[in-house]
Amino acid sequence: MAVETFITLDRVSVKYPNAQDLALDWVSMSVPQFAKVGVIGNSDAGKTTFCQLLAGIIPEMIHARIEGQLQIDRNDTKQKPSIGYVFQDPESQLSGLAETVADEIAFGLVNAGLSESEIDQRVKRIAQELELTSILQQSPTEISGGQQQRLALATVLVVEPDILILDNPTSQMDPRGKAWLFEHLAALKKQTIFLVSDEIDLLCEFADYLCVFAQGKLLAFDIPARVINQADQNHWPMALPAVYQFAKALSKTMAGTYRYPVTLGRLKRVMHDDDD
Amino acid sequence: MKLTIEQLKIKNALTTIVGANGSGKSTLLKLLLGLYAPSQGTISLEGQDLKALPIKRKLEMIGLVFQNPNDQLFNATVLQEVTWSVRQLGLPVVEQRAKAALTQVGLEAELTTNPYDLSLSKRQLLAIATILAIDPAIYLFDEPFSYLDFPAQQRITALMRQLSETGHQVIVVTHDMDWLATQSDEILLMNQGTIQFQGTPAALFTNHDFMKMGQIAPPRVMQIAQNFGDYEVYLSIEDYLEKIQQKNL
Repeated sequence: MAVETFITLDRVSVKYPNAQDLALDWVSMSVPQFAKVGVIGNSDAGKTTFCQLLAGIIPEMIHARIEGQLQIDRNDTKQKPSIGYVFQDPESQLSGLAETVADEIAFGLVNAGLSESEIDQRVKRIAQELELTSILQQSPTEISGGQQQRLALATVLVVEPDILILDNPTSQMDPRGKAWLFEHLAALKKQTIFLVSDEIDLLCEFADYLCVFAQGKLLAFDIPARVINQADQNHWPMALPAVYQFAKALSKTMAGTYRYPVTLGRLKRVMHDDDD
Repeated sequence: MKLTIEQLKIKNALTTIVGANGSGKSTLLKLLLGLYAPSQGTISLEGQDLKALPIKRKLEMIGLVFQNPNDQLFNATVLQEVTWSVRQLGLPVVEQRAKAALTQVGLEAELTTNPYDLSLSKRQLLAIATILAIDPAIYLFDEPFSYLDFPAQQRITALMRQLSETGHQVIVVTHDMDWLATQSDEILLMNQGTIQFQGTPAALFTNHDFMKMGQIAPPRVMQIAQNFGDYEVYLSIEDYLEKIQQKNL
């Protein structure tokens, strides 16, 4: 069955005013609806530009010259799909208007015109899931960095947008917070997700596709196993999943053109195949 | 944030502070820097009360790299950012120190760039360079890897090793268990404003109660081993491979 394309980038380039180099350079990709896309790359690779372009922040809030075509289909929904964006730096996310954590989470829901009881319910639920319940009445400015990052996430997740774009949302979160987020996102079946993260192991378990950026160019857009094997063969400067390193050290290969597994599930299978 | 610490001694080594979000890690670093004074008790540095030290002397001895580099940078160029702190402390050979520090973090080509035109990863490197230029005896890093990309993480890890091997005290707050498993000599586990555990990575990963309390996941290699029914402590993939090879012999 052919998968229907939902988001298309056709030879897209982005250049910021005064910048010498292109921030995105001739990027093309087709992303199916409800796909989970992991976005990786080093500093200045173009990951944040890519996210902000998808979210419409470029050019709406950040000025830049765009060439090529970005198209987001309406698909089965009659309305334009809603988009939620989580900034890399949680301090940029917070409205600065809310006096309490609870108000900050409710902010987007109030704007969406939901009823008070519905808002109250949703705020309580997401606060509990992100372990913010005990600090709901505190000011967003006086909580810890990791808690601010959880709050930034809550403000976006609570509105349940059709497309979620998350720019390194767990950089300051403790391991349980990270694990929660990856599990939560994996369970969202009706949303298309772009997730920038350095957690290569978790990303390989989570993502349908990985895209790798370097100096504004899209180096790869493919299933995680193929991307990681390709990255290693080409010595791309990036972290490789522990599973991959382990399988490679033991020469446990998979059938097919790409060689070593990148998820625990596949690793288990290739180890067991060997025992037979 | 309320912090209650009965007694804590940190010796020369690479020490890591772990704990859940909001457990008091950043507060502890700020106490050690003297940004907050304890409402009770004392913090002493080489036998001297921290409160009694003049602020200049304190900043010469202890440097903190903030969690968010945006909290730390405010000059017009990268070079000025680094020379500013050196000048404030009245240290000699200002430019030379600054340039050497920027070379150490790999920003030697960005001297005239505005810090806010740098990517977050490079901004974090710049924040580290401002402390390196002062070369304090004690380095405090508050989640230094949050914004560093992979090559920068490797560079800063090597730098921390080098610092701790040349007699500096390096204290790192991090959530990266794979990193601390292989790099850290000693771990402090914080929970609700108290120190619950002080010991080696292996000792921490052996204790399920502490791991649960600190919301800690074992290093990825232990998850792999556990997947194959092996619940031993492994700190690196090499550790586990060695065990497998021994078993097969």
